Amino acid sequence: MPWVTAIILLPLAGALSMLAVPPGGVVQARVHAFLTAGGTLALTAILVGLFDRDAAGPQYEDRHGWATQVGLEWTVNVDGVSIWLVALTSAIFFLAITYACFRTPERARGFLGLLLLAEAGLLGLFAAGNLVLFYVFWEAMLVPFYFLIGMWGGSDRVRATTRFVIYTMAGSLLMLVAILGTAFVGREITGQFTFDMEALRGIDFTRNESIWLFAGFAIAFIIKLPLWPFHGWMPGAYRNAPILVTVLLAAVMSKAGVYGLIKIGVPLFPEGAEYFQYHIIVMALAGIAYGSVVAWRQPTLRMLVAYSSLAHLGFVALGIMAFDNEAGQGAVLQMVNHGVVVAAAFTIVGIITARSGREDIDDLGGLANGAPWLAGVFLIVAMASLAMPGTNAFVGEFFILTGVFRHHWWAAALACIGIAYAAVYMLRLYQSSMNGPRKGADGARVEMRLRDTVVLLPLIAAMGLIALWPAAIVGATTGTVERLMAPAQIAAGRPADQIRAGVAANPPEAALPLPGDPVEAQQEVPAQ
Amino acid sequence: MSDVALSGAYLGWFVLALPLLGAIVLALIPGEPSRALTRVIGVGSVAAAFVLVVSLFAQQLSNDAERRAGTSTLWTWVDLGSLQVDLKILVDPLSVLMMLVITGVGSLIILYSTEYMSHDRDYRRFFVEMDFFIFAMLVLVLAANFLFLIVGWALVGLASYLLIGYYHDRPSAVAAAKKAFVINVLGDIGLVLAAFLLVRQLGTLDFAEVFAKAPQGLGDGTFIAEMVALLLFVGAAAKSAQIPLHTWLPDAMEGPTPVSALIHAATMVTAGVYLIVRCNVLYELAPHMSDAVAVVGAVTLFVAATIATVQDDIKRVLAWSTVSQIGYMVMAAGLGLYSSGMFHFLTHAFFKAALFLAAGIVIHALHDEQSLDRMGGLKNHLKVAYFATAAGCLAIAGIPPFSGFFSKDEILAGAIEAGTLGKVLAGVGLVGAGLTAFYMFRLLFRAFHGPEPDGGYHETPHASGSAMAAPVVILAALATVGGFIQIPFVSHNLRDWLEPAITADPGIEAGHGQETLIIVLSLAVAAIGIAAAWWLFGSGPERRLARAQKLPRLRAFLLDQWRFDEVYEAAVVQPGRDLGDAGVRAGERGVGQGPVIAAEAVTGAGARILSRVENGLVRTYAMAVIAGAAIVGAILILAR
Amino acid sequence: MEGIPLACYLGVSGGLFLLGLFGVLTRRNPLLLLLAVELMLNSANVALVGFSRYWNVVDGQVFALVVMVVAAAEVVIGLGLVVAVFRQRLALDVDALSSLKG
Repeated sequence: MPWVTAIILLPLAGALSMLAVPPGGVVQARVHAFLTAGGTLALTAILVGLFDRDAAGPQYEDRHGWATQVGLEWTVNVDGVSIWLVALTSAIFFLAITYACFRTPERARGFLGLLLLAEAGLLGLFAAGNLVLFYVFWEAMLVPFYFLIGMWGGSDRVRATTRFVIYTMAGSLLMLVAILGTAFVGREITGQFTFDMEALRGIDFTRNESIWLFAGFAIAFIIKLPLWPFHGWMPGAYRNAPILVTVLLAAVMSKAGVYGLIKIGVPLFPEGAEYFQYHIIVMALAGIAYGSVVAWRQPTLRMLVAYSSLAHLGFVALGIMAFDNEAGQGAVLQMVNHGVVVAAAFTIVGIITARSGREDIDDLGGLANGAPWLAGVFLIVAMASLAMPGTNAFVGEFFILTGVFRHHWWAAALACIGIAYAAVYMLRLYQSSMNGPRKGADGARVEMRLRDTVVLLPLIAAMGLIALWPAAIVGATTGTVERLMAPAQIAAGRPADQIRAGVAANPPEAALPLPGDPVEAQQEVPAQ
Repeated sequence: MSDVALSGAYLGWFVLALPLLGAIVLALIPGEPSRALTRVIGVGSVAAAFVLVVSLFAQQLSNDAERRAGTSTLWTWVDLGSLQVDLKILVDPLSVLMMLVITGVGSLIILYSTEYMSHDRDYRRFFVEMDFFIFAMLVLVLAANFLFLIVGWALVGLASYLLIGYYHDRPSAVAAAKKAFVINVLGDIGLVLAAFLLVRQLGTLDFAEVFAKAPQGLGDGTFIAEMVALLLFVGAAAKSAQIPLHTWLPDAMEGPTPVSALIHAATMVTAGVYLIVRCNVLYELAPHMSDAVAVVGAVTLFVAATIATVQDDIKRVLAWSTVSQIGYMVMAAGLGLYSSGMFHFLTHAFFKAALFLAAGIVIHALHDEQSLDRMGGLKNHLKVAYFATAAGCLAIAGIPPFSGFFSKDEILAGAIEAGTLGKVLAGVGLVGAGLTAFYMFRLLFRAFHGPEPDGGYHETPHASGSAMAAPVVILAALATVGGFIQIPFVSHNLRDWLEPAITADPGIEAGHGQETLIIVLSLAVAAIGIAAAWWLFGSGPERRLARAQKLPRLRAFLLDQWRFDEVYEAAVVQPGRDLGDAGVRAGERGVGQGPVIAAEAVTGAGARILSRVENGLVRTYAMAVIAGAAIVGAILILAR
Repeated sequence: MEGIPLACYLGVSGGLFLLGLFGVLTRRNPLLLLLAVELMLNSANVALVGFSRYWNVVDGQVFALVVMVVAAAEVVIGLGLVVAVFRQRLALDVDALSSLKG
């Protein structure tokens, strides 16, 4: 059974099936969307169950010729990193579509169809095993988001979408150049023209080539992430998108950038990654500081969460660029955590702003009196968002910073400022809306209803599960992260014994050559 | 499940589970549960945990000293390859001592609150949060590795936040809760950084492994060892309200009085002391930091005592007195007198809880009146509160045979033995003891003696019911006799009991001469303090008001609590706020977005020019095509 | 290589193309416009067939067939548009239909 292909194509089919729905068929559109999203989630769940948690390489690979003469193949697979992002995408999209089914905006067919298209694009992106396929999905997911913001967005949506597209296109065109460059330079070295990620891994680019190619990819990833100072598209897009789309942008789409970094940038171009290591670490730190400081003083609920998300993604980027196994695993876990937490946070913000009619934090107050359940859930989410020990986000941040601290203690120490700020701004968010004298709206009006519970309860449950048993996710990432990080660790001049704090087991070099790898992968890693 | 020695260690999981279950069940009961049911679950779950702890304690007592510690693992929480963390608890004499106080004093205070909170409309939420606090505190003391210690550490911070902000429509309570939370997060960061350092140096977070590897892995007196101790102390100072991270505790009195008694006097704020004692191995490797800890404790105990002498809010007096008393414990721990610090923790839990609960009776009787100015002569109305407060005051002032006498003198006598620094700090401690006696008896005299305010109370203060009186009586009794566990020259039960947990105890012991000297001196200063208090406050407000004019600037300085808050506001909070506002403004104006804005402008202008060509006339397009083809053709021909 | 020389093919083709071009540039009636476009396409076909003969490969003739199919499709769409415009009772004048917005 081609599980991965099926997971990608099912939402695509669902989106196409919207064409068969007559214009007024809101109910029918809901049924189509709900069933396909649910089916995708079910398939993903099966795949997660089947997944071999101890293996390091790609699994469940579907490989079909497409235009093989020019290196184009339909290659999709999952490994210990991408499986969790696929799972996150399916789950968050399922919840989002469920929510959209309760309250569908006008032009329901288009809205739900575009959501499904975006889901297919993101799933394909996370499962792609081929650079061209990766690029195709990278661009493909942009289209539905463009229309979702442009057609259903807020007052300033045109400017927001324009800026969103300019930024992303600028990045992705550079990435396209880098992809082609990688294939051509790779042919010079190995004699084979290929875009296959596994085949390209371990090609011994010269230092210069590695630096330039990495730069081409990294800019696209950093814009998508976004990292400071490339975040210019983010405020407008997050502010003007319908809140449901903001949830998806922050929870899922923002993972595309970090995923590219850990899956392509670092393992394919270790020397380039090593060259830019400090640049990106500094940018991540600046993003953490900037996001935190600005989040604190944001006037609206939604933008506060948006900027906090900027800060949190800085942590993930930091974890990847430390080239440390623990930090890498923490970063993978934190991608999932951030997705879950920020989705819940934006959902709550959406509930409050929609039902109270107030966007500004200072216009609200005392909602906890009429809405004790919402206040409780909000408190849990706020605590998870500020990475309070005992919540799931703490686990991720702890491992990230443990690993970062090992090699760059100053970076971890600086990042801790972000943790302190997180407490300040999340408490501002929670307290000024929930506590204090009553202002703005009656608490009872914003209290959780059935549809909110249906969406928030699974998210809270996921947070609890990860907090109590992070091994469920982390345990399956060990091999993959070691394998992805090993080339960069060697490029950074860190032999195995330094990497693994005196615990000798499976040194990273041993993880490099893989059974069944194409010829090029057996090339030696760059000599030191 | 248990791996070592103590076979009953797994019971610790049930101790943990009971309050948590209590909180969850209570929280999830749909609708508004009856008050009786709320009471049964709220008090019952903690009391049941106490019974379990007592059974654990009994089992430990029946074992030899080396078989009193045990661990129990539920599952491997995470295994990163290079770092493994288990969901594991450690039951040893130290944690059981803490648990006895937490669940014992805890159930008494929760029982007390069943009556104290009876007028509150959010009755259930209070007990949910109290039970949750007990759970969090138990996590803190039961954790067998630094990671879960940090988890417990943060969870008690959350519980404390919730309970300080219990009256959540009162802005002052909300602000106080936020302040407490943020300062506690700073402490958490200290702990987290210490944990990073330990992972980096030792590759483990497990207590047993860390303490075993530390002497080699960190080195004795090395920079790293000192850093670990420093970072741990940042956490300890934030939680235990030591200078300079103490400013949240007085504000925390915004919470209901039982909360102040349980969290901000008896248990949570002593977590810092617990941490230092638990990490005694690490502190013995860091002599300079240990000295610094002792100095911070001494400074705190002095500063807080001076502030307590002028406060007019009955709970604030007690809050500053708590800060000061924890200063004693921290000083003891810094000097290596670990068991003395824990002894003072124990007696302090008794007498301070008694004092707070007695104050709660007063506040309850006077309908939420907390100012000492509106009190006086209450000894005729509130007998139970009067005697409990008197017992507490005698204990905290160190008058034999009350419990505080034994524990405080043990610290001071031990300090004299601990080098030159110890002698200096013992002097500070003696001055502090005098101040303590002064401000506590000031409270006693102003609230319970003298004339009634404004010529009498409008409503006669009503005595409390038995649910409030019984815990106060029990705690006052414990405050009276609790010191006999360990009597100078005679016995050191507590010290022997804690020995397995304090493996690096430097074994400082006061000689008989020093012990006698300290007893004489401390009794003398206490007597001076009490006499001064009686002279000023024993007979009504006239003399006090006359004296208050004498030193207005010093008084204002003390009333402003040494102006720490003002300095922080000016130096940290306001600059941060300004920075954030600047960032927001810059974001709105598009600073740093120059290239994109330029790209937008160029694209827009270009499009406007080019769109003129698109006039919709097909023939124009065709002409353009033909012209283009002609030009291309010409170039091809000419270039040949 | 016997029969008609290549120059003749190209001459006819060029003539047809210019005829079509003239039609496209001067006519305003969409029907005539389509007719002119058709002429240009077929001039290309003639050239393709001519070259195919000259080089003695069939590719050109295959392409000519493809072009005819495309041309047929194009005419269908073009006529469909014309009918749609006619039904709207608009003038059959391409200059009058200069705006995309209906």
